[in-house]
Amino acid sequence: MKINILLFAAARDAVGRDSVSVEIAAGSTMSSLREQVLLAAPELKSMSQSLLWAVNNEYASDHRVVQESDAVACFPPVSGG
Amino acid sequence: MIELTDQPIDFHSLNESVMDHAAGAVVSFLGTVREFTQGVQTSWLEYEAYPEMARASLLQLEKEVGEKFTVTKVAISHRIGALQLGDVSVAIAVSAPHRVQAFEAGRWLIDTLKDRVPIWKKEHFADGREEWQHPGMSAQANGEGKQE
Repeated sequence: MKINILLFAAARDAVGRDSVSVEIAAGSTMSSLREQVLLAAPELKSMSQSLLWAVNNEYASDHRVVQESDAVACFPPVSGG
Repeated sequence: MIELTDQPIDFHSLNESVMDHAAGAVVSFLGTVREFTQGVQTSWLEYEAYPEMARASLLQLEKEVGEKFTVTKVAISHRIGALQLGDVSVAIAVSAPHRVQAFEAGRWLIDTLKDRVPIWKKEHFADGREEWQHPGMSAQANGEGKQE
């Protein structure tokens, strides 16, 4: 299944576009999705330890299983306020 | 009430919106654009949000603050877009029956907002450099220049 991952702030600037699409097997976890994203967008590798991942507007753990309908996003540490 | 806006924040209205006869205290916090950070001069700031998740996170803060503290009403507004020196980037107003709870709830709200809500600021320095602020990210990953 195809998953589109939204990118923000320095992550978007590093990749040069505001989203990246990857193909993953049904039942895949966030952890394997992350590996695929880093292959598709190697520009993120240098910041990968810091990146935060969200599914359906909530921070997501590595173990979370990704569904095709999920809204997934990836971004660096937040700095609002 | 929570709000994400690209317009100047009307913090007088925000304060008025939490006033209530059940409250004996209103605490208000404003975050403003600072000119100097560790000696480096800022020219202006750019704020970006992941709007859907930022709104969901702000609503979650509004819910949690009511579970953790005895508050009457809360209002949170965060601005996005280009902000000039002195502009208000975030405003929080809390009313509570007593001042201690109002202060504590207000402090918790701004601290947790900064920790959790997906909004980012990019510094545009007076010397022409620009840099995303990503607390805790390594200098190599964050590009050249100083961290927040």
